[in-house]
Amino acid sequence: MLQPLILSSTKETPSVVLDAQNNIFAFSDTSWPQDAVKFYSPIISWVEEYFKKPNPVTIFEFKMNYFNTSSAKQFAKLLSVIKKYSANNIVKIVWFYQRDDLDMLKAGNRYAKLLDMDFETISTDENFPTDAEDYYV
Amino acid sequence: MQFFLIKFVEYKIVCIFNPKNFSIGMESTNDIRNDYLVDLMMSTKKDDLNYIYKGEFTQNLSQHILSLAEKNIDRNRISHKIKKRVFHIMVESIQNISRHGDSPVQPEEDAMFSIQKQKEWYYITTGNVIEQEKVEPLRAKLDKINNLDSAELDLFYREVLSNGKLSTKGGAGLGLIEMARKSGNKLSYDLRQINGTTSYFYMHSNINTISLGEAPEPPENSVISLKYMTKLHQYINEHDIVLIYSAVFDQENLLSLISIMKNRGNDTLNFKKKIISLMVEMLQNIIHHGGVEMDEIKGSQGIFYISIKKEKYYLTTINYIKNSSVDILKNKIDHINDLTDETRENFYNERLFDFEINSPTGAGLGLIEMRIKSRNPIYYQFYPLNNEYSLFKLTLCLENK
Repeated sequence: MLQPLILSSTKETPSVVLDAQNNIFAFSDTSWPQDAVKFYSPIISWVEEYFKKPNPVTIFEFKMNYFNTSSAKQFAKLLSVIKKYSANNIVKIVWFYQRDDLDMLKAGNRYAKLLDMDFETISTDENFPTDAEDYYV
Repeated sequence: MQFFLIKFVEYKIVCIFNPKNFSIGMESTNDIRNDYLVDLMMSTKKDDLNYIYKGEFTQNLSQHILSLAEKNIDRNRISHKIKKRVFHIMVESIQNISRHGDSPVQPEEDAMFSIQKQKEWYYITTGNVIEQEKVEPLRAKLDKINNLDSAELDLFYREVLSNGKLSTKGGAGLGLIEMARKSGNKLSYDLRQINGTTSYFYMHSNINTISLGEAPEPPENSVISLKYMTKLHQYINEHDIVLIYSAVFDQENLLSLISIMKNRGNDTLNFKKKIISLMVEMLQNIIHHGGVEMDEIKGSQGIFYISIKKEKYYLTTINYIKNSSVDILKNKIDHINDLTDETRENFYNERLFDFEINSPTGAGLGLIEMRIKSRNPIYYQFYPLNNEYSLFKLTLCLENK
C-alpha cells in the first residue's frame, strides 16, 4: 500500500495528511511558501500515485486559514488532477471556511465553479488552525 | 536634507500614473519625487536595516518587533556578546516607552521605536510623550549620565541600585544608566515641547558591532542621525505612517512583519487577514522579481510602509526594477486596472488554471489579486535611476468597511 504522506504545518506551509490506509486526505492551516511549486509537486505526485489503486470513496478536506496566490495556483493543479480521476471514482472535495471568512468562501466557490465536480463548501464556527500559534496569519 | 533626491531631478519621470485609474484617496499618495522615504530606501545597502514603528506597544507586539530586529542581527553573524548587548538596549528602550511614556492623547503623541543598521553600527531611536514637569529632571539625569566615564557609571549604577527610591513604575532611572553602560556611548536625546503640558522625548543610542568604541558622529544629514530621525518622525506624523521597513526582503522578515500587523490595532481579524494577504503578495513579488545588483545594494532590496488615514489603509512598496521590465509590468497593471470587475474575475480564473506558465510564483495572479482584494485601482509609478535600473512604487488602498 502507498505510504502515507504526512507533513506538520509550519508558519508558512500547511498541515498535510494523505493517508490511504486510514482514508484521510486533508489540508489545513496556512500556505505561503517561497516556492509553492517545490512544496506541492510531491503532493500532486502522491495523489497521482494514489489513484492507481484508490479507496472506494475518497474525500479531500480543506480547512485553510490563509493561502497566497502561488499556493492558489498549486491547489488548482492538485484539484485538476483529482477531477481527472473523479470520472471513474467516487471523489468529493469538502471546503471548510470559518463563518466570517468571506474571502475563503469565495476561493472555494471559485474552484467549485471552475472544476464542476462534487465540491461542497461548508461554513464552520471552528477556529482553525486549532493549535493556533500567534505566528499564524 | 534630501540629498539623494538631488540626483533625481536630472531624470525625467517616465510615467506617473494613468489618470483614468486615479481613484478616491490616492491623491494623498506622494509623487515618488517628493517621497521622503526614497532617501531612506536608497541609503539602505546590503545587510542594512531601517525599521520604524509608531503606535501602541503591547507585550506581544514588542516581542515581534524584537524578533524582526533579531533576524537582522542573525543575518549579520554578529557575536553572541554584541547581540545580547543590542538586544538588551532594545528591550530597555521599549520598556522605557511603555513604562514612562505618558498616555498619548493625539496620534502625533504616539510612541515610536526605530532600529537601524548601517555598516557596523546599530542605532536605536525611541520617542514618547512626557509631562512637562518631568522634562527638567529627565534632562538633568541624562546630562549627569553623559558626563560620567565608564567606571563612574558603574559606581552610579550601584549607588542607584542600593539607595535609589524605586519609582512606582519601577526602575528609578536604572534603565537609562544601563543603556549608557551597554552601548558604551553617550545617550543622544532631544526634547520638543508639544504644548503647555507635554513634550516629546527622543532618545538615540548606538552600538558598534565590532568593538565597544566611542561612536563617530554620523554626518548631520545621514539617515541614521538623531536629527534625521526627528524629521522623519515629523514626516510620518504628517503622512499617518505607522510602520516603515527598509531592507532586503525574505520569508523570515516577512513573517515578523505579518506578526506585527496581526498584533497591532483593533481591526477585525478578517480585515487584518486581508491586509496581510496583500502584504504577502506585494513583498513576495519583490522577493521573486526585485533582485538587484548595484554598487553595495544586493538582493531583493526595498521599502515597505503603511499609512492609515481614517478608515483607509495604504500599503506601499518601493523597489528596484530592471529598465527592461518596466514596460511589461506597466502594461500588465494597466490591463488589470482597466478590466471591469467581471472580466477581471475571468482573467484571474484563466490564469489560475493556466498550467503552461509554471513559475514558482503565481504567474501574475498576485497583481490581479491585489486589485480584486483591495477594491481599488493599483497605483504605481516608475522612476529611472540609471541605464539599468528604475524605481518602482506600488500603492494599494483599502477601506475598512
